[in-house]
Amino acid sequence: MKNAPMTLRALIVDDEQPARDLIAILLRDEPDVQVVGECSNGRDAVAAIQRLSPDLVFLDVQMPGLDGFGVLAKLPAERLPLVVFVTAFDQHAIRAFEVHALDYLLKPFEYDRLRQAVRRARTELARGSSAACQARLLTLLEELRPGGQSWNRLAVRDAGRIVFIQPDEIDWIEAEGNYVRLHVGRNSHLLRETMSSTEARLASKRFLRVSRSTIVNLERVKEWQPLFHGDSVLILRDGTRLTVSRVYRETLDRLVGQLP
Amino acid sequence: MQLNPHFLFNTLNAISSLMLKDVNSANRMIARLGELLRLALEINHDQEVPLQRELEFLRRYIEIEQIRFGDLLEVRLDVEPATLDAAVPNLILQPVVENAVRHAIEPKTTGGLIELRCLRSNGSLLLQVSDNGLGLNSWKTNEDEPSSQTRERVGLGNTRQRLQKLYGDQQSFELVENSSGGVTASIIIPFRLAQAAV
Repeated sequence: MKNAPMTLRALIVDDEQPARDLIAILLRDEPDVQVVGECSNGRDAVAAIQRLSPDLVFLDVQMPGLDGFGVLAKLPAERLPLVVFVTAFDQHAIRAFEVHALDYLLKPFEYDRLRQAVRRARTELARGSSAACQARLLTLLEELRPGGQSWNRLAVRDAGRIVFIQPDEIDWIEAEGNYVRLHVGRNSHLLRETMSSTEARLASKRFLRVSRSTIVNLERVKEWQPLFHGDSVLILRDGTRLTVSRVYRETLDRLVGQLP
Repeated sequence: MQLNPHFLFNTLNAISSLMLKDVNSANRMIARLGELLRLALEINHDQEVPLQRELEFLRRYIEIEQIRFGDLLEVRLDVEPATLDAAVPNLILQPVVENAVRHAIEPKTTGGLIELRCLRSNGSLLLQVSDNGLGLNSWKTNEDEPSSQTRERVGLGNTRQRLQKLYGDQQSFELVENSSGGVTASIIIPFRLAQAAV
């Protein structure tokens, strides 16, 4: 037996009238979808989601003031609806949507692409998988939050591919302008992060900042040789030599002190 | 080309919407966008253009923004005729106006107002863009600032760099809070007639 048809209650959030109209017009062709509201900014969207508890939100990512991610961050986890992100141009966010298998529409989109998003939402709701969807959204928010939680898995773009790296595969990390370079075996990958955010995200005893521009995976260290003037050098198993500056030496001393 | 990709893709999306309910507006928007792209491609290699040319570009840009934001956005132009032939860096005004548009309409459901003034004062050309938004406080950097908003300031950083490179000490670019709210961006460069205008 078929399930009784469900009504999908949808909210449309975008700062531009034509963009909201487009989604509203296309949704008229979906008999089981009811548009319960439209919002033109993030603050109204937070209030509307709390008040209306929509099943599905079409959420513009880039809005002045509170943007799409800001809206979700202001909602309690259990109130998070199914979200289809709508964005014009945001490579960083799109990568994150892909990694976390979240649906998004890239402006301008084909009319059929919206219908497909509605079909996916219908399937998710029928399956009653809202908890799983909320978990994926939370992971996304954590990842996009500046200085967010620690990394379980990194997604790095490399020559048109996306390479996944486990933090413990990283040998050492060096600062490179506005990026950090991750040295992983024979490969290295650039990541758009600062040294301090990288340090925070790798928060574990395994990794240690040893100079302004270097973080090292301590399990790769073979030798530690003192130099003059309080500087010293770490030699990794693969022969890489990394300078430890005086400022960071104390932490290393303490770690060595803990050795049996 | 210095056009903001957000602007370009959002405009295409707005056209995609207008096609369903107002074909004439969709057509008008495609025409304006075509003109805008043509101008942007043509003047790509000239460092400076007559102000008149810059304003032609700006009018098309503004018309598109007004279709996108409807009644939310009013734009007033106050241009001294004597300044029309003055040389200005090409596409210098559009990013400044775009930034003002974002800040003017952000806190409002109606009544976003942008005013552009161009005047000659002694040996200088003054280009002024005012908005009636929330003021500089709302532009502040903070930890939770989404990356999307940092980009807007990057646009103005480019403006500053270009002016510095072209005119060195002879230029200034200032953002000042208005007493009535909102922000005024003032560009001052040496007044010279553009070569094409001579």
